[in-house]
Order: sequence, then structure tokens, then C-alpha cells
Amino acid sequence: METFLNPRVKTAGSVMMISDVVVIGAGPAGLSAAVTAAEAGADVVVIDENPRAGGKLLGQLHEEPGTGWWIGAEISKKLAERAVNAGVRILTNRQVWNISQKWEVALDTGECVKADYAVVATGAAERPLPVPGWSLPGVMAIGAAQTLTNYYRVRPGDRIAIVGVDPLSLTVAHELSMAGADVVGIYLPGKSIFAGTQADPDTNLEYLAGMSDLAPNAFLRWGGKLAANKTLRKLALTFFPKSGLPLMGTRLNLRKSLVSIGGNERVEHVEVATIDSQGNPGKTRTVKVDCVCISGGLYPVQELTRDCGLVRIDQLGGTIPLYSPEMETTQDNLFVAGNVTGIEGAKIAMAQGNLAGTVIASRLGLLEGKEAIDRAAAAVRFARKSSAITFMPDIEEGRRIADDLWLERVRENSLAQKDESYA
Amino acid sequence: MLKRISDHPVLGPLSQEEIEFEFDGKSYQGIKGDSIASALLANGVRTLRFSNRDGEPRGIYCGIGHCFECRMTVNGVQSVRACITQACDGDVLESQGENRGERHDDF
Amino acid sequence: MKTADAVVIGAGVSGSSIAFRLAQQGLKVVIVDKNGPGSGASGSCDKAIFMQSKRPGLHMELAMASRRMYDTLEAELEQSVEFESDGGMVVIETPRHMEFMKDFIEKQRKAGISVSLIDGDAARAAQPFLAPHILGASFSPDDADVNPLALNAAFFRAAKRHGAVHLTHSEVIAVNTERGKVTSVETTRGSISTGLVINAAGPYAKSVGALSNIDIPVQPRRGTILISESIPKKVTGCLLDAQYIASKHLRSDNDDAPPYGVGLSLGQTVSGNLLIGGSREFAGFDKRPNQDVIATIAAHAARIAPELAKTRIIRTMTGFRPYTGDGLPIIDRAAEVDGYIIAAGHEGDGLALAPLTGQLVVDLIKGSGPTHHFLSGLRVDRFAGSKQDAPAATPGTTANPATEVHVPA
Repeated sequence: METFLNPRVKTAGSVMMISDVVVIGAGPAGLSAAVTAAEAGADVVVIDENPRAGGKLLGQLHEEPGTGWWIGAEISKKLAERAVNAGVRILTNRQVWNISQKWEVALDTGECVKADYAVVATGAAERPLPVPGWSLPGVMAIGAAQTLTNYYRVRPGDRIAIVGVDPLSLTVAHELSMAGADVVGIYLPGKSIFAGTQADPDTNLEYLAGMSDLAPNAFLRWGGKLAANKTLRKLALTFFPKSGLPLMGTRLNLRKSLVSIGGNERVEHVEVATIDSQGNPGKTRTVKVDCVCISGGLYPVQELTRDCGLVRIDQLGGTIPLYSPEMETTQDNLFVAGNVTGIEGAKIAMAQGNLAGTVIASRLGLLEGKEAIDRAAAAVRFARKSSAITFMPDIEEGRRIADDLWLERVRENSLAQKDESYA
Repeated sequence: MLKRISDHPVLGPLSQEEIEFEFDGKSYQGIKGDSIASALLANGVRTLRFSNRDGEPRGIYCGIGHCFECRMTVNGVQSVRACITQACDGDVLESQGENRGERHDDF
Repeated sequence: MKTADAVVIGAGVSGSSIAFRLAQQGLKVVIVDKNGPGSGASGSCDKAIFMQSKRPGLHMELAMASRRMYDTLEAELEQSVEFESDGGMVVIETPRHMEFMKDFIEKQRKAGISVSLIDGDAARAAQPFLAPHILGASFSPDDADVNPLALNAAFFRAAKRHGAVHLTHSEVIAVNTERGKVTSVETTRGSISTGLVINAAGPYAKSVGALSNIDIPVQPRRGTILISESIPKKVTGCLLDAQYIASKHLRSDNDDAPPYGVGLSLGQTVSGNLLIGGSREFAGFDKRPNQDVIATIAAHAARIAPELAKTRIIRTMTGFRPYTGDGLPIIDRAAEVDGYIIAAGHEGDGLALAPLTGQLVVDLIKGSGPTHHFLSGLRVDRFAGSKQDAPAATPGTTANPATEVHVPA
């Protein structure tokens, strides 16, 4: 509780830093916002609690149709280098304690960054999906397994079971196989209040149907085709082999759920139940594994945006701050970009960051005219249309709802102003 | 090293710059750039602490600093998140809590 | 329209206790809250039930009567509220405070509180985390602890078991009257026909009262508390520092006092988290965290308990205590409107007085009962003529208008 408990940063205590822009989060959105603003001439500070810049981009690894491998670690490195070359100060290993208006960001090192503009790009976190036995060492979130494998180059296990069927879990299953792990199966979660419809085979097929033809690996392409229409989905489910569908070295089990995890001191085995098309369990069987990866889906992280008119939009993955077409929140000069506004891929996050950075540069008088902003806004729409992975199947609808809520707010504000002018 | 992916079909060979650190009195090697959690896992160490209430083992869960399951004492500083803290040469790391849980195989 | 014998406005510990007692009496009760149970001061306070800090006289008598009710409360509510009578300690840092505390303890004893002065070594033997410079402490086995959220929920549930109905996320927008008598309560989620309304809105009692042109002299007093990570059992019972108590009597000593009205209050929850208080400021209803306040609380706590410097703070909470100015709540009928009862202004004593508060309101309505003799001292007209205003916010300085010894809520 001593004011400053940070084993990796030694500071002289209270240090005040002044800049034009402070960006919280050095993931794809935050770095892109920083690069754009700094290259236009703004003084930018970026803060991240991780030891290096990149955020969730660091662990990404998949094949993009037409353009080859998307190696997140390399893209992060280039983006961070570009930022540093543009004069951005990237402060890693720092936790944000507090953000207060116009805009002061207090850090756990005792430092404080003061800036006219702030960008919150805190990204997303994974929803926990409790499974009996999930506190055993060897059980981890799918994202943790992804970063360990692709960034740190440590295999999280030799025999791995995956719980939860979604674009992230299917992608990581492939990445784990590439790294030499034996992915014994991808299972649905057992029925529980936490799993909700994630335990329901039909919902899962419908979800798979939302994935794109451009999908970066066979799992996703297969899912998209198989489940494209409702009749086919019903058929698919009825005939879905109980032993699962063999795919790239593992099995996708839409007729099996993982009901518990066991072991002494660490994961040793899982209990898997055969389920009917409604998700009700039948016979169970024990499978030996040393690692279980849980995928409960992602949600936007709102720890720093609570004064920004938060709304829940399920199509975007959870609660998001209201934001303008220029990525500004209900708080003047406080911007958002990336997954904090809804769950989408890194390319879209980068485009949103670029848009926020462009708007800020323009407000600072560093860019003239509206063309740059229009171009950046168009780039966000294009990135969404050409995205290889669609995490949220109804993302377009979610964005429409968010846009409408913003317009409604603008209308209400202008009416309120009129009321005041009569008074 | 036990779980290190030394050769990868896409990512190529691994960096070789080694670091050395101590965890609960035992010495381990890691690779420069490792997080504390990744360095320990590469050595086959999964248990990073023991829970307060029942003394049960706990390891990495979220990997992004949210769940605090991987917290440990780093060079005397308590409750540091192993998953988002870089491992440095000469680090002295200690697990927190006591291993006192009677564990049963639940099956 | 719903009908009720009584509508209680506010589902904090006070409102829930009142609803429980009224429902127990057979009244048809509706509890209204703009959020939910414990969403205000009762959900952002520490867990101490201090006896030894109370001023001899009515303040002390109320606390003791309420403390006796705690002994059987869990049985009565049919639920654990994590009530522990582990005693409490007021730690003394300076010779001046020691001198003052000796005198204070003498008065407490005469008032019937079991309290003794122990030296620094004895204090450290009881609470090993105390710093070497601690000169001593006063200890009382009568002090106790409770989980405020569990207490709030237990009252709320017990009220419901006795037939009370809740209407949460409903803000009161009007209390309607006919010929000076309450006829209904209007909320954002519908109206309730009733002849009796109890304003137990804590720091918001004033604005709720204003809806009916009733002046209720209650001001919000902002308090921030730090919450640590869960650690193995470290703190026994509850703890204050003498700063809290001495600040009133030793005004010249205030030069040494930390800003923001900071004084230490310390307790540990059943799940192991430390609750580290606290500040006391007048700053309206501004709930935004202030890092200076947080750092001041932390530094003050770490001076008294150096080990705390290593403990991670995971969260802070800020609440608004209902401040009346004389350290006593208002439990009275409003003169302006027939059928309107005020039960607010407990400041830091909401928990300590919670069991009693419900009974006080029952006795007020019945015109008799075991607590009826207290009510003459809790009337709202005691403030008449002396228009009470909270002192202006003075950031960074000790806001210390207290004419009373207050416990951090």
C-alpha cells in the first residue's frame, strides 16, 4: 500500500509529464492512435501495464487469405518502432490508477501524465466460464494459451482439451497443433448458468455460420459453409458424429461437453459427456490431458470509462461507452478505440485507432480539412467489411445500435439546449 | 527445457539469450523477454501460489493481468502478476500462501 | 395503484431495519430505493461497531442499547451477519493524545463502558502489526464488528419474510398530501397509496424532504475507504487511532493532523480483505476518486501499521455519510406534514445504531415502547433557529466542524 509498489519501474516519486495526447493501452488500437497523432506532429505518451507494447496482437498468428501469415509479434514490433520514431513515449510496466478530467492519468509508479486529449484503448478480456476443477494449475484462458504459444514460445501442455467453440478457440486450436501440442478435442461447456447458450449445440452451429468465407483457417471456413442455413444446420446437428469431426489434427465435438476437470495438484484428466442436440448430458468418459483451455468469449474492458455513458449492446460483446462517429465519448476530448468499443479483430482496432488519432491531430490544428478524417472513417468501414474473422456474428447490427444511440443523445442535447434558450 | 517450442513451422527458431532466476529457492533458466509465468512454465512449473483459504495450488489463468491468480512475490514486492511481469536475470521469486490443502481426485 | 400501511424511502441499513420492525408489527410495508439495498453509505463503509468512541450521554446510551440488540440479532434475522465481538482498540501515537485518552477513558468508564488503557507493548502483543512508536491503546471488549452488506441484506430479507415488498431502482419523485396529510408516494416506477412515509434516505434525506417542503438538516460527508487484497488473518477486532477522538478536544493539535479529515480505521473481513479508512470531507455528492486522498489514507495507515505498506490495495470506495452536526440522528415526525417520519442523519453510526433505529421508529409511531425515552433527544426541532450548513469544502485541509466524536462509518 506504500504509494508505489512496482518491481520493474523505479521513479523518484511524483513525476508529472505533460503531453498533447495520453493513450491508455499499447495494443493495436492504442499504438495506431499514437502513431497517427505523433506523425502529424502531436506529443504523445502511451501507457501499458505489460512489459512491452502490442497487447493481444502479440500472440496472434494466422494465415490471411491472399496476404500470407499474420504474425502479431512482428506487426506489434513494427508499429511500436514506428511510434517511437515519431517521438511517442511508450511507458510500459505501468498500471493506471486513476483518470480524472482534462485529462490526468495517475500511474502506480507515482507518475502522472497530463494531456489535452486522452484515448482509452483498454481492449477486451475473456469471460470466465467456470467448470468444476478449473482452479487447478494447467487450466487457463484460451488467450493465455495463445500468447504463451505464439509469443513466449512455451507450449501450455502436451495434451490439451479446449472448452468453448468460437473463432478464437478454433484459431488457437490450430496454433497449438502447429506448436506440436496434441489437441485432443474441442468441447462445448457443460450446461450451467455461466455457459448459457454456449452449451447449446444449435447455438454453436449458428455461431459458426456467422464466420466468414475469408476465414484464416480450415476450421472457420468449414464452419461458415456447413452452417450457412438453418436446414443444413439442423441436418448437421442430427448427423454430427458423436466422436466429433476430425479437423487439422483435432476433433471438434458439438455433441460432447466437458463437465469437469480433475487431477492432484495439476490437471491430469477431464470428464467428457456425450450430449443430445439440446445439450443434455448422457454417458461420460475420462480423457487424459495436462492442460485445459477455456474460451468463454471476450468482453470490452470498461474500468476507465465509467463516466462515458455506458450502454450494454450484446451484439458488440457487452458494455461499451457511447462514442461519436469520430470516436469521442460523452466526455469532451476523451476518445476510445479498439475492443473497448466492441469485440472485433486487430485490423479494425488499428483503423479505429487511426481514426481517433486523426481526429485529435485535426483538433490540435496539425491536419487541415476534413478529408483525412473522412478517409480514416472509411478505412474503419472497409476493415470491417474485409475482416477475415468475425468474432461477433451481428457486429454490423451492434454498430448500428451504437450509432443510433449516439445520434439520439445528440438530438436530446440539442433539444435541451433549446429548452434552456427559452428559459 | 520441457515445454519450449524451439522450432516453429511459421515463427522459426527461438532466441537463445538466457537468463537465470530463483523461484522458492530453486534456480531456473529462462529466455530474455520471457514473462515470469512463461519462464516458469517452460521449466514445467505450473503452481505459482497457494490459495488463502484452503491452500490449494493455483497457476496461470487469464494471462493478461486481470485475474491475479498468478500473483507472487518478486524481489520482495508482494502480489506481483507473473503473467505480465518480465522475468529478469537475478530475480528472486517466491510463491505466496501455504500448500496445506488436502486434495482429492474428484472423479 | 399499490397500497401500503407504510412506505420506507431508502433500503440502507437504517431503512431496512425500519422496514423489518414495521413489518414485524404487522404493517404492510413497501421499501423504495432509487438503487438497491446497501447501494449508498451502507455499502461503502467499514465494519466497526465502536462503543468506546461514543460520547457519554444520549449518544452512548443509544449505542449501548443497540449493541445489546446485536447479541440476539442473528437469531432474530435468521441469518449470519458476520457479527464478531472481538473488541476494539484506539491506538495512541503521541504523549498529548495519551494524556487526552486517559481522561476520555475515565469518562467512558463512568458511563458504563468496559474500557482499559494498555501500554505499547501490550497493544503490539494484541495487534503485532502496530508500529514501535505506538505509545499505547485503549481497549474495549464491548466493541464489535459486523459485515455491513450482510447486515443490510439480512434486514432486507427479514423484512420481506414479514411481508414487506421492495421497489428497487425506483426514485421517489413526490410525496402527495391532502389537507396536510400523506396520501401517496410517487416513484419513477409507479405510485403507492399510503398514509405513512418514513424518510430513511440517509445523505439524500434532505433532497427527499425538499419534495415535501420539509427541511431536514442532513449534509453529505464524503468518506473514502481503501480495500486491500485478501491476506491471512492479521487484524483482531476493529481499530481506530486517537486522532479521530482527540481532534475535537485538542484543536491546537490539529496542525499535525493529516489533511482531508484522515484518521485510521482498520478492520479485516471474513474473506481476509482489509478495510482501511478513512477520510471525512465536505464535498457535496462528488464521488470521483481523488488520488491525494487515497495516498494520504495509505500513508497515515502505513505509519501506524508499517506492514500495510506491503499490502496491495485492490479497490477504494467512497460514500456519503449523513451528517447532522451534533453526531445524533433525527428520528421524529415532520411538523409540516402529517404522516411523515424522518429517520436519517446517523453519520458514522448507521451500523452501530442499525438494530435500534427500527425500534425507535416503531416506538415513535406507537407513542410508547422500550426506546421511546430516547426520542426527545432526537427531534428535528433541536436544529431550529440555527440554520445548519455544512462548512465549505476546503480541499487539502482538515474539514473538522465536528462538535462530536464520530466513528468512521
